[in-house]
Amino acid sequence: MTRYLLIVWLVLGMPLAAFGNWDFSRHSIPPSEIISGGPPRDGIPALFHPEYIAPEKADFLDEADQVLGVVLNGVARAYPLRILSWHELVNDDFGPDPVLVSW
Amino acid sequence: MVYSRQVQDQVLTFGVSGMLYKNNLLMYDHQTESLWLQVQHAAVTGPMTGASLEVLPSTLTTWNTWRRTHPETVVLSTNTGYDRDYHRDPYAEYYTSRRTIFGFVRDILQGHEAKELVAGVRWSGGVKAYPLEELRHVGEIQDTLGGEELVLRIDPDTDTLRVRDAQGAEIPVIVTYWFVWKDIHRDSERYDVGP
Repeated sequence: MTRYLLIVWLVLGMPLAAFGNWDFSRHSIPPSEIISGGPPRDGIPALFHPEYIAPEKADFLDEADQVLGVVLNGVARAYPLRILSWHELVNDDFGPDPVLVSW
Repeated sequence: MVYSRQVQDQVLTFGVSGMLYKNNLLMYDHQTESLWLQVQHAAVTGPMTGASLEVLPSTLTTWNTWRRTHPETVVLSTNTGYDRDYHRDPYAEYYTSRRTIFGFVRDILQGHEAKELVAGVRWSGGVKAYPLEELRHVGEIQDTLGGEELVLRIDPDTDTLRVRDAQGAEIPVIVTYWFVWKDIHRDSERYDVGP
């Protein structure tokens, strides 16, 4: 019985686990065309508590490096693609405004 | 690209789902676990299906230009809580392998470089990609999309891209890789300079 359950789990459970158990009951694109990109859920870690430094402290940046620049509520921030490429998403706030920076 | 995380009266936080739709990353919100298509900033599965995120103005430029035009700027620190080599580009390997796995991507590129940056506009029933280098070169492109006139302009000093209609109202624009744009918008036209 245990072995039977294990086989059922392997056959049914494994693909589901790999798929992340997303709720596709509502959808606007065909769920069959949603595929695993390799890294698991949160395998690419989004940032939630970004820290900032002054330009003169940014030794890791070269002049020609690409940055995504944002000005909102009088605050200017630069998000280097060097960092964004590793995290894809930064959950941030500009004063009262909740902002998502994505790459 | 930069979006508001506020949808109606709800503030969402986002993570990377690991799932892809036509080579485009699907992110998810922790509050409802809906999947969102990044390039369309819209929820495509789950309870939030049909909702979309407001696009906020942003500028893709060099560190030198940004710093010169925004002396008051701060910059995201590499102190992220994660041990990553920020001197190495993870995309180099990633896209090479992806292109091998999803070979069909090559068929839609129409001979253009997959990782060429384009400004993508979906507006007035039309879909079109404008190569960013060409835009930088000419500074301004006047065009017709979906029967309506629009102007794409890059400020040469700040490298800031703005797209406006004939009345001067701002039109949302997405800067991304050509293969990402074209894979999602198979019917997309492409602005090219004549021979």
